[in-house]
Amino acid sequence: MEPTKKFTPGYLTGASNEILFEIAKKLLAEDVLNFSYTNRLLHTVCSQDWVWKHLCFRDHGVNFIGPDTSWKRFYYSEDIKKVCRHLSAIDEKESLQSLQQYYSVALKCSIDECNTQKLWMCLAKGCSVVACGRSGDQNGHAEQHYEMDKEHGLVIQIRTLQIWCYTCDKWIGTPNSHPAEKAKVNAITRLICNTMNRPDLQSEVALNSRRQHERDLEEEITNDGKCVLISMIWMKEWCSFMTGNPLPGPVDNRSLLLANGSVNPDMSIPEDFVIISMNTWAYLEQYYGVDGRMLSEGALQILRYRCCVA
Amino acid sequence: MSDPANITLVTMDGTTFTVPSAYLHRSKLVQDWLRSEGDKQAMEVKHVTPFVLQGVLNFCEIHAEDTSEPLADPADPTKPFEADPRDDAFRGMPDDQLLQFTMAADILQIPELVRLTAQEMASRIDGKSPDQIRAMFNPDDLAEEDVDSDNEMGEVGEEGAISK
Repeated sequence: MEPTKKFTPGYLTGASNEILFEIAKKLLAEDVLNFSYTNRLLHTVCSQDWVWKHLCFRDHGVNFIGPDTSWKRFYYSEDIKKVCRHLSAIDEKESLQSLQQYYSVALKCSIDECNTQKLWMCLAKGCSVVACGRSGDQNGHAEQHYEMDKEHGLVIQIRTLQIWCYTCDKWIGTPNSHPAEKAKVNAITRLICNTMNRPDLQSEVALNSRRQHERDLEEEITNDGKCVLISMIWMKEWCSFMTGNPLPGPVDNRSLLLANGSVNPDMSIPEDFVIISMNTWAYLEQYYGVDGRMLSEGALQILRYRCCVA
Repeated sequence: MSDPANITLVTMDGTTFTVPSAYLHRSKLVQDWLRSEGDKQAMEVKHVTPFVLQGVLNFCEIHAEDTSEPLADPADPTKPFEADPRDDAFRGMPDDQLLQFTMAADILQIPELVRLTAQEMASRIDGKSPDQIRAMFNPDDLAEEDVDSDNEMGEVGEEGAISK
Protein backbone atom coordinates (compact mmCIF):
# COMPACT_ATOMS: atom_id res chain seq x y z
CA MET A 1 0.00 0.00 0.00
CA GLU A 2 1.35 3.39 -0.96
CA PRO A 3 1.56 5.57 2.16
CA THR A 4 0.41 8.70 0.32
CA LYS A 5 -2.71 7.09 -1.04
CA LYS A 6 -5.94 7.49 0.89
CA PHE A 7 -7.41 4.09 1.59
CA THR A 8 -11.07 3.51 0.90
CA PRO A 9 -12.26 -0.07 0.60
CA GLY A 10 -14.09 -0.82 -2.63
CA TYR A 11 -12.57 2.07 -4.53
CA LEU A 12 -10.39 1.08 -7.43
CA THR A 13 -8.11 4.08 -7.00
CA GLY A 14 -7.46 2.98 -3.41
CA ALA A 15 -5.73 -0.16 -4.68
CA SER A 16 -1.95 -0.20 -4.77
CA ASN A 17 -0.20 0.21 -8.08
CA GLU A 18 1.00 -3.38 -7.78
CA ILE A 19 -2.57 -4.65 -7.78
CA LEU A 20 -3.52 -2.46 -10.73
CA PHE A 21 -0.49 -3.84 -12.56
CA GLU A 22 -1.55 -7.37 -11.77
CA ILE A 23 -5.02 -6.72 -13.16
CA ALA A 24 -3.67 -4.94 -16.24
CA LYS A 25 -1.25 -7.78 -16.99
CA LYS A 26 -4.16 -10.22 -17.19
CA LEU A 27 -6.17 -8.15 -19.67
CA LEU A 28 -6.10 -8.33 -23.44
CA ALA A 29 -4.16 -5.39 -24.90
CA GLU A 30 -7.36 -3.79 -26.14
CA ASP A 31 -8.87 -3.99 -22.66
CA VAL A 32 -5.72 -2.51 -21.12
CA LEU A 33 -6.32 0.54 -23.32
CA ASN A 34 -9.97 0.77 -22.26
CA PHE A 35 -8.98 0.26 -18.63
CA SER A 36 -6.45 3.07 -19.00
CA TYR A 37 -9.03 5.49 -20.39
CA THR A 38 -11.16 5.15 -17.26
CA ASN A 39 -9.22 7.77 -15.35
CA ARG A 40 -5.91 9.49 -14.97
CA LEU A 41 -4.44 7.17 -12.34
CA LEU A 42 -5.26 4.09 -14.36
CA HIS A 43 -3.89 5.75 -17.43
CA THR A 44 -0.57 6.32 -15.69
CA VAL A 45 -0.48 2.76 -14.38
CA CYS A 46 -1.48 1.16 -17.68
CA SER A 47 1.05 3.15 -19.67
CA GLN A 48 3.97 1.87 -17.62
CA ASP A 49 6.63 0.11 -19.59
CA TRP A 50 6.50 -3.08 -17.59
CA VAL A 51 2.80 -3.65 -18.25
CA TRP A 52 3.48 -3.48 -21.99
CA LYS A 53 6.72 -5.40 -21.69
CA HIS A 54 4.70 -8.15 -20.08
CA LEU A 55 2.12 -8.02 -22.88
CA CYS A 56 4.84 -8.07 -25.58
CA PHE A 57 6.20 -11.30 -24.13
CA ARG A 58 2.82 -12.84 -23.34
CA ASP A 59 1.26 -12.13 -26.74
CA HIS A 60 4.24 -12.01 -29.10
CA GLY A 61 6.93 -13.98 -27.25
CA VAL A 62 9.34 -11.02 -27.48
CA ASN A 63 11.17 -9.71 -24.42
CA PHE A 64 13.73 -7.41 -26.04
CA ILE A 65 13.33 -3.98 -27.56
CA GLY A 66 15.27 -1.53 -29.69
CA PRO A 67 16.18 2.06 -28.87
CA ASP A 68 13.87 5.02 -29.61
CA THR A 69 10.60 3.24 -28.94
CA SER A 70 8.39 2.28 -26.01
CA TRP A 71 7.07 -1.18 -25.21
CA LYS A 72 3.57 0.08 -25.95
CA ARG A 73 4.51 1.35 -29.40
CA PHE A 74 6.52 -1.80 -30.05
CA TYR A 75 3.51 -3.94 -29.08
CA TYR A 76 1.41 -2.39 -31.84
CA SER A 77 4.16 -2.15 -34.44
CA GLU A 78 4.45 -4.56 -37.35
CA ASP A 79 8.09 -5.05 -36.43
CA ILE A 80 7.31 -7.14 -33.38
CA LYS A 81 6.01 -9.88 -35.66
CA LYS A 82 9.16 -9.79 -37.76
CA VAL A 83 11.89 -10.09 -35.13
CA CYS A 84 13.29 -13.49 -34.20
CA ARG A 85 11.34 -14.15 -31.02
CA HIS A 86 13.56 -17.15 -30.23
CA LEU A 87 16.14 -14.62 -29.03
CA SER A 88 13.90 -14.01 -26.01
CA ALA A 89 15.17 -17.22 -24.45
CA ILE A 90 18.82 -16.20 -24.74
CA ASP A 91 20.66 -15.12 -21.64
CA GLU A 92 23.73 -13.04 -22.51
CA LYS A 93 25.64 -14.01 -19.39
CA GLU A 94 25.05 -17.72 -19.89
CA SER A 95 26.16 -17.51 -23.54
CA LEU A 96 29.31 -15.74 -22.41
CA GLN A 97 30.12 -18.39 -19.81
CA SER A 98 29.63 -21.21 -22.32
CA LEU A 99 31.92 -19.53 -24.84
CA GLN A 100 34.56 -18.84 -22.21
CA GLN A 101 34.50 -22.49 -21.25
CA TYR A 102 34.70 -23.49 -24.88
CA TYR A 103 37.80 -21.40 -25.51
CA SER A 104 39.53 -23.08 -22.58
CA VAL A 105 38.90 -26.64 -23.80
CA ALA A 106 37.73 -28.10 -27.10
CA LEU A 107 38.35 -27.05 -30.67
CA LYS A 108 36.38 -29.77 -32.42
CA CYS A 109 32.80 -30.51 -33.29
CA SER A 110 31.55 -32.30 -30.20
CA ILE A 111 29.06 -34.45 -32.09
CA ASP A 112 31.42 -36.36 -34.35
CA GLU A 113 34.82 -34.75 -33.69
CA CYS A 114 34.81 -33.25 -37.18
CA ASN A 115 38.08 -31.55 -37.86
CA THR A 116 36.87 -28.12 -38.84
CA GLN A 117 37.39 -24.68 -37.44
CA LYS A 118 34.02 -23.35 -38.55
CA LEU A 119 32.16 -24.27 -35.42
CA TRP A 120 28.87 -23.20 -33.94
CA MET A 121 27.63 -23.24 -30.38
CA CYS A 122 24.01 -23.92 -29.50
CA LEU A 123 22.55 -21.03 -27.50
CA ALA A 124 19.65 -22.94 -25.93
CA LYS A 125 19.55 -22.70 -22.15
CA GLY A 126 21.92 -25.12 -20.47
CA CYS A 127 22.97 -26.71 -23.79
CA SER A 128 26.13 -25.12 -25.30
CA VAL A 129 26.75 -28.06 -27.64
CA VAL A 130 29.49 -27.25 -30.15
CA ALA A 131 28.97 -28.54 -33.69
CA CYS A 132 30.06 -27.92 -37.26
CA GLY A 133 27.95 -26.06 -39.80
CA ARG A 134 26.63 -27.20 -43.16
CA SER A 135 28.65 -25.25 -45.71
CA GLY A 136 31.73 -26.42 -47.61
CA ASP A 137 33.67 -29.26 -46.01
CA GLN A 138 31.45 -29.43 -42.93
CA ASN A 139 29.01 -32.13 -41.92
CA GLY A 140 26.06 -30.05 -40.73
CA HIS A 141 26.01 -31.44 -37.21
CA ALA A 142 24.67 -28.17 -35.81
CA GLU A 143 21.61 -28.55 -38.03
CA GLN A 144 21.21 -32.19 -37.01
CA HIS A 145 21.34 -31.08 -33.39
CA TYR A 146 18.47 -28.66 -34.15
CA GLU A 147 16.48 -31.34 -36.00
CA MET A 148 16.59 -33.50 -32.86
CA ASP A 149 15.17 -30.73 -30.69
CA LYS A 150 13.52 -27.79 -32.43
CA GLU A 151 13.92 -25.65 -29.31
CA HIS A 152 17.64 -25.51 -30.09
CA GLY A 153 17.37 -23.29 -33.17
CA LEU A 154 19.75 -20.46 -32.31
CA VAL A 155 23.45 -21.00 -32.82
CA ILE A 156 26.43 -18.66 -32.58
CA GLN A 157 29.45 -18.97 -34.83
CA ILE A 158 32.37 -19.23 -32.45
CA ARG A 159 34.95 -17.52 -34.61
CA THR A 160 32.85 -14.51 -35.64
CA LEU A 161 29.96 -14.40 -33.12
CA GLN A 162 27.43 -14.27 -35.97
CA ILE A 163 24.07 -15.72 -34.96
CA TRP A 164 21.91 -17.98 -37.12
CA CYS A 165 18.36 -19.12 -36.37
CA TYR A 166 17.40 -22.48 -37.90
CA THR A 167 13.73 -21.91 -37.07
CA CYS A 168 13.59 -18.50 -38.81
CA ASP A 169 16.13 -19.79 -41.37
CA LYS A 170 18.14 -16.56 -41.39
CA TRP A 171 21.04 -14.62 -39.93
CA ILE A 172 19.98 -12.76 -36.81
CA GLY A 173 20.86 -9.19 -35.83
CA THR A 174 22.33 -8.16 -39.19
CA PRO A 175 22.45 -4.53 -40.35
CA ASN A 176 19.09 -5.06 -42.11
CA SER A 177 17.37 -6.60 -39.09
CA HIS A 178 14.85 -4.75 -36.97
CA PRO A 179 16.45 -2.42 -34.35
CA ALA A 180 15.20 -4.58 -31.46
CA GLU A 181 16.85 -7.68 -32.88
CA LYS A 182 20.05 -5.75 -33.59
CA ALA A 183 20.11 -4.29 -30.08
CA LYS A 184 19.73 -7.72 -28.50
CA VAL A 185 22.42 -9.33 -30.66
CA ASN A 186 24.76 -6.36 -30.16
CA ALA A 187 24.32 -6.68 -26.41
CA ILE A 188 25.34 -10.35 -26.61
CA THR A 189 28.39 -9.81 -28.84
CA ARG A 190 29.48 -6.69 -26.96
CA LEU A 191 29.37 -8.51 -23.63
CA ILE A 192 31.37 -11.42 -25.04
CA CYS A 193 33.95 -9.18 -26.75
CA ASN A 194 34.42 -6.89 -23.77
CA THR A 195 34.75 -9.71 -21.25
CA MET A 196 36.88 -12.11 -23.26
CA ASN A 197 39.35 -9.40 -24.25
CA ARG A 198 40.47 -11.13 -27.45
CA PRO A 199 41.52 -8.67 -30.18
CA ASP A 200 41.20 -11.37 -32.86
CA LEU A 201 37.56 -11.93 -31.93
CA GLN A 202 36.86 -8.20 -31.95
CA SER A 203 38.29 -7.74 -35.43
CA GLU A 204 36.19 -10.69 -36.68
CA VAL A 205 33.04 -9.19 -35.17
CA ALA A 206 33.88 -5.88 -36.84
CA LEU A 207 33.76 -7.69 -40.20
CA ASN A 208 30.28 -9.15 -39.63
CA SER A 209 28.29 -6.32 -41.15
CA ARG A 210 30.55 -6.50 -44.21
CA ARG A 211 29.89 -10.25 -44.38
CA GLN A 212 26.14 -9.67 -44.36
CA HIS A 213 26.39 -6.92 -46.97
CA GLU A 214 28.33 -9.23 -49.27
CA ARG A 215 25.92 -12.11 -48.69
CA ASP A 216 23.12 -9.81 -49.87
CA LEU A 217 25.24 -8.79 -52.86
CA GLU A 218 25.95 -12.40 -53.77
CA GLU A 219 22.23 -13.13 -53.96
CA GLU A 220 21.61 -10.15 -56.21
CA ILE A 221 20.30 -11.24 -59.57
CA THR A 222 21.78 -9.83 -62.73
CA ASN A 223 19.02 -7.86 -64.36
CA ASP A 224 20.81 -5.36 -66.55
CA GLY A 225 22.07 -8.00 -68.97
CA LYS A 226 25.66 -7.13 -68.25
CA CYS A 227 27.47 -9.99 -66.63
CA VAL A 228 30.94 -10.63 -65.37
CA LEU A 229 32.69 -13.96 -64.93
CA ILE A 230 34.34 -14.87 -61.66
CA SER A 231 36.66 -17.80 -61.19
CA MET A 232 35.16 -20.45 -58.96
CA ILE A 233 38.43 -20.73 -57.08
CA TRP A 234 38.19 -17.12 -55.93
CA MET A 235 34.42 -17.40 -55.44
CA LYS A 236 34.90 -20.23 -52.93
CA GLU A 237 37.33 -18.15 -50.90
CA TRP A 238 34.89 -15.27 -50.92
CA CYS A 239 32.02 -17.53 -49.78
CA SER A 240 34.10 -18.91 -46.97
CA PHE A 241 34.80 -15.36 -45.80
CA MET A 242 31.07 -14.69 -45.70
CA THR A 243 30.56 -17.74 -43.50
CA GLY A 244 33.36 -16.79 -41.13
CA ASN A 245 36.82 -17.33 -42.63
CA PRO A 246 39.52 -14.68 -43.23
CA LEU A 247 39.27 -12.18 -46.07
CA PRO A 248 40.46 -13.42 -49.49
CA GLY A 249 43.02 -11.53 -51.57
CA PRO A 250 42.28 -9.63 -54.80
CA VAL A 251 39.87 -11.12 -57.34
CA ASP A 252 41.89 -13.54 -59.43
CA ASN A 253 40.53 -14.85 -62.74
CA ARG A 254 43.74 -16.31 -64.08
CA SER A 255 42.42 -19.85 -63.78
CA LEU A 256 39.97 -18.97 -66.56
CA LEU A 257 42.68 -17.93 -69.02
CA LEU A 258 44.92 -19.81 -71.39
CA ALA A 259 48.67 -19.22 -71.41
CA ASN A 260 48.31 -16.67 -74.24
CA GLY A 261 45.87 -14.58 -72.17
CA SER A 262 42.67 -15.49 -74.01
CA VAL A 263 39.65 -17.05 -72.29
CA ASN A 264 39.83 -20.82 -72.03
CA PRO A 265 36.86 -22.12 -74.07
CA ASP A 266 36.74 -25.44 -72.18
CA MET A 267 34.99 -24.19 -69.07
CA SER A 268 31.58 -24.64 -67.58
CA ILE A 269 29.23 -23.25 -64.95
CA PRO A 270 29.49 -23.72 -62.06
CA GLU A 271 32.55 -25.96 -61.94
CA ASP A 272 34.97 -23.32 -63.20
CA PHE A 273 33.21 -19.98 -62.96
CA VAL A 274 30.04 -18.18 -61.92
CA ILE A 275 28.33 -15.09 -63.23
CA ILE A 276 27.84 -11.95 -61.16
CA SER A 277 26.28 -8.56 -61.87
CA MET A 278 28.21 -5.45 -62.86
CA ASN A 279 27.17 -3.93 -59.59
CA THR A 280 28.74 -6.77 -57.61
CA TRP A 281 31.86 -6.58 -59.76
CA ALA A 282 32.21 -2.89 -59.04
CA TYR A 283 31.98 -3.64 -55.34
CA LEU A 284 34.57 -6.41 -55.50
CA GLU A 285 36.89 -4.22 -57.52
CA GLN A 286 36.63 -1.46 -54.95
CA TYR A 287 36.99 -3.57 -51.81
CA TYR A 288 39.21 -6.46 -52.90
CA GLY A 289 41.05 -5.13 -55.95
CA VAL A 290 41.53 -7.16 -59.13
CA ASP A 291 44.51 -9.22 -60.18
CA GLY A 292 44.31 -9.35 -63.98
CA ARG A 293 41.37 -8.09 -65.98
CA MET A 294 37.60 -8.16 -66.05
CA LEU A 295 36.06 -10.98 -68.08
CA SER A 296 32.70 -9.85 -69.36
CA GLU A 297 30.03 -10.34 -71.99
CA GLY A 298 32.36 -11.03 -74.93
CA ALA A 299 33.94 -13.93 -73.13
CA LEU A 300 30.51 -15.12 -72.13
CA GLN A 301 29.34 -15.37 -75.76
CA ILE A 302 31.92 -18.00 -76.54
CA LEU A 303 31.08 -19.90 -73.38
CA ARG A 304 27.34 -19.77 -73.93
CA TYR A 305 27.92 -21.46 -77.24
CA ARG A 306 30.01 -24.11 -75.55
CA CYS A 307 27.33 -24.65 -72.89
CA CYS A 308 24.71 -25.29 -75.59
CA VAL A 309 26.90 -27.77 -77.40
CA ALA A 310 27.60 -29.59 -74.15
CA MET B 1 13.03 -20.29 16.30
CA SER B 2 10.07 -22.46 15.33
CA ASP B 3 6.80 -20.95 14.19
CA PRO B 4 4.01 -20.70 16.75
CA ALA B 5 1.06 -23.09 16.40
CA ASN B 6 -1.42 -20.26 16.03
CA ILE B 7 -1.35 -16.74 14.71
CA THR B 8 -3.65 -13.94 15.77
CA LEU B 9 -4.56 -11.24 13.28
CA VAL B 10 -6.23 -7.95 14.19
CA THR B 11 -8.23 -5.97 11.63
CA MET B 12 -8.71 -2.22 11.32
CA ASP B 13 -11.58 -2.15 13.83
CA GLY B 14 -9.94 -4.39 16.45
CA THR B 15 -11.63 -7.70 15.56
CA THR B 16 -9.26 -10.60 16.15
CA PHE B 17 -8.89 -13.88 14.28
CA THR B 18 -6.78 -16.75 15.56
CA VAL B 19 -5.85 -19.40 13.01
CA PRO B 20 -3.26 -22.21 12.75
CA SER B 21 -0.04 -20.67 11.41
CA ALA B 22 0.07 -23.34 8.70
CA TYR B 23 -2.83 -21.53 7.00
CA LEU B 24 -0.66 -18.49 6.40
CA HIS B 25 2.51 -20.07 5.05
CA ARG B 26 1.87 -18.47 1.64
CA SER B 27 1.48 -14.96 3.04
CA LYS B 28 4.78 -13.17 2.63
CA LEU B 29 3.65 -10.43 5.02
CA VAL B 30 2.98 -12.93 7.82
CA GLN B 31 6.19 -14.86 7.17
CA ASP B 32 8.24 -11.66 7.28
CA TRP B 33 6.50 -10.69 10.49
CA LEU B 34 7.28 -14.08 12.06
CA ARG B 35 10.93 -13.65 11.21
CA SER B 36 11.09 -10.07 12.48
CA GLU B 37 12.09 -8.97 15.97
CA GLY B 38 9.63 -8.00 18.66
CA ASP B 39 6.26 -8.85 20.09
CA LYS B 40 4.46 -11.76 18.40
CA GLN B 41 1.17 -11.50 20.30
CA ALA B 42 -0.95 -10.36 17.37
CA MET B 43 -0.35 -9.00 13.92
CA GLU B 44 -2.17 -5.89 12.83
CA VAL B 45 -3.72 -6.02 9.38
CA LYS B 46 -4.80 -2.46 8.82
CA HIS B 47 -6.98 -1.58 5.86
CA VAL B 48 -8.76 -4.94 5.88
CA THR B 49 -12.32 -5.31 7.17
CA PRO B 50 -13.30 -8.32 9.35
CA PHE B 51 -15.58 -9.64 6.59
CA VAL B 52 -12.81 -9.60 4.02
CA LEU B 53 -10.20 -11.03 6.37
CA GLN B 54 -12.60 -13.86 7.19
CA GLY B 55 -12.92 -14.59 3.48
CA VAL B 56 -9.15 -14.48 2.97
CA LEU B 57 -8.63 -16.87 5.89
CA ASN B 58 -11.24 -19.21 4.39
CA PHE B 59 -9.22 -19.22 1.18
CA CYS B 60 -6.05 -19.93 3.17
CA GLU B 61 -7.72 -22.78 5.03
CA ILE B 62 -8.98 -24.38 1.81
CA HIS B 63 -5.50 -24.16 0.30
CA ALA B 64 -3.47 -24.91 3.45
CA GLU B 65 -2.78 -28.47 2.28
CA ASP B 66 -1.90 -27.50 -1.31
CA THR B 67 1.44 -28.87 -2.33
CA SER B 68 1.94 -26.68 -5.40
CA GLU B 69 5.14 -24.70 -5.47
CA PRO B 70 4.77 -21.15 -4.12
CA LEU B 71 4.06 -18.69 -6.90
CA ALA B 72 6.85 -16.15 -7.23
CA ASP B 73 5.15 -13.90 -9.78
CA PRO B 74 1.33 -13.77 -9.95
CA ALA B 75 1.59 -12.88 -13.66
CA ASP B 76 4.15 -15.53 -14.64
CA PRO B 77 3.16 -16.31 -18.26
CA THR B 78 4.70 -19.78 -18.03
CA LYS B 79 2.24 -20.77 -15.29
CA PRO B 80 -1.21 -20.30 -16.80
CA PHE B 81 -4.09 -19.77 -14.44
CA GLU B 82 -6.44 -22.70 -13.94
CA ALA B 83 -9.79 -22.17 -12.26
CA ASP B 84 -10.19 -24.17 -9.05
CA PRO B 85 -13.79 -25.16 -8.16
CA ARG B 86 -12.92 -24.59 -4.49
CA ASP B 87 -12.60 -20.87 -5.27
CA ASP B 88 -16.05 -20.46 -6.81
CA ALA B 89 -17.02 -18.07 -4.01
CA PHE B 90 -14.93 -15.38 -5.72
CA ARG B 91 -16.74 -15.82 -9.00
CA GLY B 92 -20.18 -14.86 -7.72
CA MET B 93 -18.93 -11.95 -5.63
CA PRO B 94 -20.06 -8.34 -6.29
CA ASP B 95 -17.46 -6.17 -8.04
CA ASP B 96 -16.64 -3.90 -5.11
CA GLN B 97 -16.24 -6.85 -2.76
CA LEU B 98 -13.97 -8.62 -5.19
CA LEU B 99 -11.87 -5.47 -5.32
CA GLN B 100 -11.54 -5.48 -1.53
CA PHE B 101 -10.35 -9.09 -1.64
CA THR B 102 -7.85 -8.22 -4.36
CA MET B 103 -6.48 -5.43 -2.19
CA ALA B 104 -6.37 -7.67 0.90
CA ALA B 105 -4.48 -10.31 -1.08
CA ASP B 106 -1.99 -7.62 -2.01
CA ILE B 107 -1.65 -6.36 1.58
CA LEU B 108 -1.11 -9.87 2.96
CA GLN B 109 1.11 -10.68 -0.03
CA ILE B 110 -0.46 -13.99 -0.96
CA PRO B 111 0.55 -14.43 -4.64
CA GLU B 112 -1.95 -17.24 -5.27
CA LEU B 113 -4.85 -15.08 -4.08
CA VAL B 114 -3.52 -12.06 -5.98
CA ARG B 115 -3.53 -14.11 -9.15
CA LEU B 116 -7.01 -15.50 -8.53
CA THR B 117 -8.64 -12.15 -7.71
CA ALA B 118 -6.75 -10.17 -10.37
CA GLN B 119 -7.71 -12.80 -12.93
CA GLU B 120 -11.36 -12.56 -11.91
CA MET B 121 -11.22 -8.75 -12.04
CA ALA B 122 -9.64 -8.92 -15.48
CA SER B 123 -12.33 -11.26 -16.79
CA ARG B 124 -14.98 -8.78 -15.61
CA ILE B 125 -13.23 -5.83 -17.29
CA ASP B 126 -12.75 -7.89 -20.46
CA GLY B 127 -14.56 -6.35 -23.42
CA LYS B 128 -16.00 -3.36 -21.53
CA SER B 129 -15.78 0.26 -22.62
CA PRO B 130 -14.23 2.85 -20.26
CA ASP B 131 -17.76 3.98 -19.29
CA GLN B 132 -18.81 0.44 -18.46
CA ILE B 133 -15.66 -0.03 -16.38
CA ARG B 134 -16.40 3.19 -14.50
CA ALA B 135 -19.90 1.92 -13.76
CA MET B 136 -18.48 -1.30 -12.31
CA PHE B 137 -16.69 0.53 -9.56
CA ASN B 138 -17.51 3.68 -7.67
CA PRO B 139 -18.54 6.28 -10.25
CA ASP B 140 -17.50 9.21 -8.01
CA ASP B 141 -14.13 7.68 -7.49
CA LEU B 142 -13.57 7.05 -11.16
CA ALA B 143 -14.63 10.42 -12.50
CA GLU B 144 -13.81 10.94 -16.13
CA GLU B 145 -10.61 12.86 -16.35
CA ASP B 146 -8.87 14.57 -19.16
CA VAL B 147 -7.20 11.55 -20.64
CA ASP B 148 -7.03 12.37 -24.30
CA SER B 149 -7.85 8.99 -25.67
CA ASP B 150 -8.28 10.20 -29.24
CA ASN B 151 -4.79 11.53 -29.30
CA GLU B 152 -3.40 8.31 -28.05
CA MET B 153 -5.22 6.13 -30.51
CA GLY B 154 -3.19 7.87 -33.17
CA GLU B 155 -0.07 6.99 -31.27
CA VAL B 156 -0.68 3.26 -31.06
CA GLY B 157 -2.48 2.82 -34.34
CA GLU B 158 -5.89 1.56 -35.23
CA GLU B 159 -5.54 -1.87 -33.69
CA GLY B 160 -6.37 -0.69 -30.18
CA ALA B 161 -10.05 -0.04 -30.57
CA ILE B 162 -11.71 1.88 -27.79
CA SER B 163 -14.99 0.02 -27.92
CA LYS B 164 -16.28 -3.18 -29.34
